[in-house]
Amino acid sequence: MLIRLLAGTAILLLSEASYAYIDPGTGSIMLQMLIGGVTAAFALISLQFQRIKIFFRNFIYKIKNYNKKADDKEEKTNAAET
Amino acid sequence: MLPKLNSGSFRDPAGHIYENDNSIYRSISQHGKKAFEEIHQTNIINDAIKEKFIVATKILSEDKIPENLKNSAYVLEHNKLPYISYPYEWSFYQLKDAALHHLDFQIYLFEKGFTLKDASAYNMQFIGARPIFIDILSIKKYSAGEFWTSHKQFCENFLNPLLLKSLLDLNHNSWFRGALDGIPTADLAKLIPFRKKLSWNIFSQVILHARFDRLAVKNQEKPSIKNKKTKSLPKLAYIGLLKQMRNWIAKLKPLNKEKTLWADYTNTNTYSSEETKAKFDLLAEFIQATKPNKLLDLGCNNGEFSFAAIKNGAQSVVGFDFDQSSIADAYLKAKKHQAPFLPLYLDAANPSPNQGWIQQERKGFNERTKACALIALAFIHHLAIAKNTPLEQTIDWIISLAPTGLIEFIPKNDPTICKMLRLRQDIFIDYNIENFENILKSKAKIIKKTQITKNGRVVFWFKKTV
Repeated sequence: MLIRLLAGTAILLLSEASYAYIDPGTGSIMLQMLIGGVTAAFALISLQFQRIKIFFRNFIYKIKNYNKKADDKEEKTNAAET
Repeated sequence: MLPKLNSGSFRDPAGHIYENDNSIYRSISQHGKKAFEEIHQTNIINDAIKEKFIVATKILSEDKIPENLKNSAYVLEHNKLPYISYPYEWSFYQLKDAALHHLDFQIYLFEKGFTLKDASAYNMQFIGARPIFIDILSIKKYSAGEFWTSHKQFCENFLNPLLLKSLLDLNHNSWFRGALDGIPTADLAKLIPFRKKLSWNIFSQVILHARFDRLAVKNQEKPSIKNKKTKSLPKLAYIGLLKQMRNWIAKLKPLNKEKTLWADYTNTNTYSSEETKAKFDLLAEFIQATKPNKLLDLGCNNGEFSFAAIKNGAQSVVGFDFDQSSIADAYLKAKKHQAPFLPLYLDAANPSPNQGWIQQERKGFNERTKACALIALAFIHHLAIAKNTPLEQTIDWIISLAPTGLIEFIPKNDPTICKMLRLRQDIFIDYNIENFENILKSKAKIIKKTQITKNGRVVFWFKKTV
C-alpha cells in the first residue's frame, strides 16, 4: 500500500517538475522519498549520538580533571608540610 | 580551422562542444545564458578548477571567439585532454574512481549550494590516472527540496556496472558498450543472488529501485493519489544519500581477485632478463629520439614498457590491453606513481566502434586514437595468429595509428606461438619474418632492426614516409 501510494505521488510530482533534460526516473524519485527519510533519520540520530558522545566525553574529562586538580592540590600541600 | 560541432554534444540545449585539432570550445546558448551567469558570478567554476574537480577552462573574450560561434551568449575554452576514453574501456578501478570523483564533486558543490544536472559517466575523463569532470554546464543552483534527479543515471552509469564485478565477478565493458546509457537497474536486480539481497544497500539501491521502476510503469495511467506532503527531499536526506552512496562505493572491490593469464606476465614471460634489457635499451633509444607527446602502447600488459617510456621522456602514454587484470594492475600502478599513463581495455580484433545517435555520438577507436608514436611489443601474434587477422591488414592497422613506432615480430618457434598452435592447424603460411619485413618496408622506412631473442624475436623501428 505504501509503495502504491508513493508511486502515485511520484507520478504526480514528475508531471509538474519535468524541466530537466534527462528523465529523473519515477522509480528513483520514489526510492529517494522512502530511503531519503530513513537516511535523514539516521543522519539526525547519528548527529544526536555524536552530541551525546561529546557531552559524556566532556563530562568524563571534567571529572578526571577535577580529580587530578584535587590530587595535585593534595600533593602540593603534602610537599609543603614536609 | 573553424571548430566543428562534436557529434556527441546534443543532449543539453544550454550549450554545445566544438573542436578543432588544437582546441576544445563550449558555446553557451541564449537558453543557457541565465543559468550560466548564475553559477559564473559565484566563482564556483574557478574554485572547482583549483580543487582539480573540473577541467581547466576560461571564458573567451569577444576577439578570441571563433567566427562560427559568434552568435553564442558565451564561449568557453577547455584544456584539451590527452585522450578521450569511454567507461566501457575502463577497468573496475577506473570506473570506481570516476564514480567517487563524481560524488565528491557533487558533495563539494552541494555544500556550496549547487548540484549537478546529470551523472553521465561520459562526463568523466582521465588525465593519466586522475579522473576529471568535463561538463561544466552540468553545474546548477540547488533549489530547496529538489530530488537527486540524476540518481537513476548515476546507478546505471556507475553503481550497477561496479556491482556486476563486485557481486558477480562480471566485467561491465561489453554490456556497457552495448547499452550506452549503462546497466539498467531492473536487469541487474534479476541477477543478484538471494543472499546478497539481504544487504541494506543492495536491497534499497537495486531491488527496491527496480521494484519502484516497475510500479511506476504500471501506474503510469492512474495518477490519482494526492499527497503533497512528500513533494520534496529534505536537504539532510539529499546529502545523506550522496554520502551513503560514496561510503558504499569506496568499499566496493572485485569479487574475485584471482590473477588472470596476463597479470603476472612480466614474471612468467618467455625471455631472459638479458633479452628484456635489449628491449628496454631499444625503447629508451626510440623514445629519446622521437620525444613523443603522446605514445600508444598496444598490448601494454601491466605497463612495464609504458613506465619505461615515461622515464625516458614520453610526455603521456595511452596503453591498451584485452586483459582486464593487467589493465587494473597498470592503472593502480599509474595512480600510485601519479604517472601520465592511461591504460584502457581494448580487444584489438573488435575495437570500440562509432556508435550511439547517428552512429557518431561515441567515436570509435580509430577515430580517437592518433598519436606521435607507438609501440606494439609482443602484440602482433595475438592478432595475426590468435585471431587469424591477415598479416598485411594487421600491419596496416597498427601503422595507421602513428607516424613512427616499434613493432616486434614473434617467430613461429617462439613458445607463446607454439602454445597458441598446440591444438590448431598451422594455416599461417605467410606469417614469417621475411614477409613481415617486406610488407612493412613497402609502407614505411625501416630505421632499425634489432634482434631481441636468440629464437628470432625482432623489433622493427619504422617511420612512415608520407
